[in-house]
Amino acid sequence: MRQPGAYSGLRISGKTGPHSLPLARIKKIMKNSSDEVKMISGEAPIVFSKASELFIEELTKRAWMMTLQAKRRTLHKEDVVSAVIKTDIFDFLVNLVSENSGKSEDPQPVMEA
Amino acid sequence: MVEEQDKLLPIANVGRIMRYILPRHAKISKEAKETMQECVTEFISFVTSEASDKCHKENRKTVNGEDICWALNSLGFDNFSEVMLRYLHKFREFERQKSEQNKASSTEEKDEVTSYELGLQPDTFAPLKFQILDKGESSSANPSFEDRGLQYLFLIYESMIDGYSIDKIGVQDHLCKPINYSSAILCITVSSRNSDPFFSEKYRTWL
Repeated sequence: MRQPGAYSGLRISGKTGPHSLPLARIKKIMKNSSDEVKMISGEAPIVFSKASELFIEELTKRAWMMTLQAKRRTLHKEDVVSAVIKTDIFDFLVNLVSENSGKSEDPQPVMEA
Repeated sequence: MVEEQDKLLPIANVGRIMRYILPRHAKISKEAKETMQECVTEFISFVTSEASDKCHKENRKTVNGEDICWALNSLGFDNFSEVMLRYLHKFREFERQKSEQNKASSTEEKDEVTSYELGLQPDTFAPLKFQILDKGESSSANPSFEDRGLQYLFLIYESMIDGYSIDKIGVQDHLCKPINYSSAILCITVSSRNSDPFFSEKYRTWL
């Protein structure tokens, strides 16, 4: 039986722990996402903490399938990129992963002298 | 270019979650972790924008858990959305119980309620025995198996348990007691991938 490696502990105590994502950081990311975001309820980062795990899990699994197809044991960036391209719901990530630098939040074009 | 690390989820956490779901022998390159870090951060932004748009249109100032669930659904993450709604309701219940607990001392299963982890940490979890509640159409021998049922609560697809995959997981509340997660019934519907596609069984366990 494949050992269930999925994240098992669902901390809903509101504290961060070894298996949780930092709520303050999540909140910061949420606030940065758009100017329209005004107030965020206390439960929203907690929902995201779990949703993010599910997301990571899903993308990682699909990337790992690419790794296996290439007969490797190390998951590389290219596997993540392939998984993104192959999966419809990850379309929003295509530009992000295709950039060489991988940075998507640079609004200023590079000015050449 | 300076990495704005504080705008991303911590790579250590991301890496840990990735490792948990991969086989033990798997390795993950640093770049892959970094890419995942960026992707999940973008995921949060993306979903939040959608949720916040909705709030804005409805003249609401606060983005709440349900808005996130709605946005997940709207953006095609319907599996997540379903799971998250349940998670959210459990969380709200937990908060409610917590405040009730502060008034009265709990009589039973206090450990579960106070630590109140919906899933149990691998090192503290005792294996659950599953009993068969209902049988589907196949007459194959029904294995009972021990497993960490709660780990599967939020693992919807592609989990293999001895040749079975999980179709559906739900939690029912026990009717006789006040809603207390430790006495809920976990129902897992599994189907066999190996042979008969119409084979299904429901497993029940007390949590």
